[in-house]
Amino acid sequence: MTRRTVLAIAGGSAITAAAVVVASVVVLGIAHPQPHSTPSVEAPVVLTAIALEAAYLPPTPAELAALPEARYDAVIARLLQSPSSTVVAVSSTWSLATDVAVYGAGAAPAARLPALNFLGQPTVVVSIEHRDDWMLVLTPARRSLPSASGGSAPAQTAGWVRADALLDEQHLDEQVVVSVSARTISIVDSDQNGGPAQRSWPVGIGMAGTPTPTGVTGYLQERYFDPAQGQQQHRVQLTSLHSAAADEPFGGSDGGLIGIHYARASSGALSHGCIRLPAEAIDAIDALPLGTLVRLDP
Amino acid sequence: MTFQRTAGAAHRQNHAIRRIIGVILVAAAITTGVLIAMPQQVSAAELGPGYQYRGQATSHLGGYRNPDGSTSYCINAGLPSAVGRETGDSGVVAEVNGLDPAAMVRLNLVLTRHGNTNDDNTAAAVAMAVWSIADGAAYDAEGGDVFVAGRAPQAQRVAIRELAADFRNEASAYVIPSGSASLALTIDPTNTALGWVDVAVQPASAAGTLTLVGGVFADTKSATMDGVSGTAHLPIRGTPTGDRAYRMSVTGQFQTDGGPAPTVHLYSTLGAQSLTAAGTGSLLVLSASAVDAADRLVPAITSVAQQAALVGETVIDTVKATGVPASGMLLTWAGYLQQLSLAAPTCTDKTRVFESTEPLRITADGEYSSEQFPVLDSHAGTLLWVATATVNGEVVAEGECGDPLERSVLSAVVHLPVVSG
Repeated sequence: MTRRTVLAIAGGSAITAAAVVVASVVVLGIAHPQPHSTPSVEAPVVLTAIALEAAYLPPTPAELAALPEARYDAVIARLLQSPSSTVVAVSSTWSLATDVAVYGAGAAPAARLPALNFLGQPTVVVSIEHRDDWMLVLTPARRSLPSASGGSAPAQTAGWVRADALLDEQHLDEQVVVSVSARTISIVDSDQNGGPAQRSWPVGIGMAGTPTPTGVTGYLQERYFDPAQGQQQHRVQLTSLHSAAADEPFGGSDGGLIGIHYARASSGALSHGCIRLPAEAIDAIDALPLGTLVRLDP
Repeated sequence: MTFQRTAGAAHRQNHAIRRIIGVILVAAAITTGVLIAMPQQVSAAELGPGYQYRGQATSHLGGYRNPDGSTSYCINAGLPSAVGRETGDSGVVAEVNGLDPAAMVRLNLVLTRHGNTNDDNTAAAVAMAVWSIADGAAYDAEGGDVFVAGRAPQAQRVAIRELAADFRNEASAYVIPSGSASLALTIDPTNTALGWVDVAVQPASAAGTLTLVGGVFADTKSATMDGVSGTAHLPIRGTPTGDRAYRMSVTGQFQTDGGPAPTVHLYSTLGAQSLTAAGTGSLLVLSASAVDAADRLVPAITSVAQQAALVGETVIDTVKATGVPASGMLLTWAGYLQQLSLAAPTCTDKTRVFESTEPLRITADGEYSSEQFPVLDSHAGTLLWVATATVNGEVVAEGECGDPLERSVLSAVVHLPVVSG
């Protein structure tokens, strides 16, 4: 692992570091090689990992197995904060033949993405950027808890995986866009990021104390019926997003997960961060492929 | 050629008149189209079988040899002989001497059945019959059979006249063949996919081909059947193409020998007798068709599987069956396990984990459920259901491997993430 050159950039110091590593640097957010496209960044710190191709040495199976699984309820500090919504526009979904290592901050792999998810189903991996032999993917784990981050933590994480580990690319034609202020959920064409909605419904969003995060894009991670959560008629749409304001706004220990689900009362600020939908809307979301991006607009 | 009697000098006085009439007849023939066809080749008419009065070729009673080897006969009573003259082949024509089709058929019949002969008496009799049919009025004016037979030897004249009479009678008695064909489609009341085609064709010699639309013949599984004749009762099976209901149709075309056509082969001779040989034969063509009088209902199934189950639970698949025949239909189910992959759905013996222990017999439209499939630890994945409907051992409807509505997600007992309400 010592042969791999990895650069971690923190905040404004990235400019100097990027100038040193030059072309081999993969930079997100403020240190992106194309300054004119630099987005405004809400989060105070954006971490970026760079792995040089010539020196890449894959982890051994034992090393891989020892890595923390980037699961919905995991907190893995060396994962990256996902770019803001304005950067994430076009995506593809993939499957994995085997578990793969995820690189974030630091030279060593940060986490492991399993080939099968918590339901034993193939993990749907969502890529948002491709650089040489690396692919930046969104991950379902957290990188920090709000309680340990001054009351605010990234709602979405990301990490780099080797591109050749990803199989069966599928381009997604549609995205889900939630306007928290307008309290609507829409399905839009992926090619018209933020373009006119094909369909739109009113939704319920988080209350003031447990708000639905904004300015971030996650994806539909999995879906399932769960009578224990009152969802025996419409499947819960589990996103990769987490509460940015509270560790567990609804109690429990599952990671403050932001779900999209059916609720009879589906209008207003009434949830713990989840997005509550009427039946027609949840059925429409349920028909979208897993991996579909979910953009939470202010 | 002129007619010559063996006795009766008074008739010689009429020669000049007959020549004038003959010229007029030729002119009439030209205007009525007998000679419209352009001669294709030129040849000198040669004497064929028959007799000549006193050895004179111009008083020949019999046939003439055509360039193609066939035998032809004069059709213009009173005109000069064609012997030694250039004769053009005008081909097969549908009219000579203004004869109607029925007369053309009689003329062709005599030529076809008896004209190609080497027998002198037969040829002489054919010549007389042809003259009398083709140019009856002039022939009779010349003196008819009694006069013309005088060219033959005395001993043969009676026989020749009787033979000529036989030929004429045969032609007059000839009935142009006719027939009928009918088809009927019957739907099996116990299974609308089945039924019969009933065929009735007359005459018995007529044979042909049946063509089904929307079905096949049960025995051959082909939509067509050749060599069908007489009466037949043929089982059929519907082959619907997707519609909920359909109607089958059948067409048939049959044919048999139609006897002599109203044609002759004409050899024209300018200024003299035109000659005719046998024309063409004809076909009697019969056709029929039939269409189902009522819709045939297509047995169909639509299936919806239980969407998900955990290890230790059971799953079922439910089939909605329509178009179920009253005689019954069997439903069976199979389940195929797809694990660990987003690959294309695969339903093979290797991936099959469930089969109905025995078919479910149904006799009416409705919803029917499979047996329960118990989910074991090894079944985590997606169960792909395929329901099959059979009637009389034949698959009439079958689900599709990988149908999105036919998938049961089977999961190990896991903690389902609780979202933030």
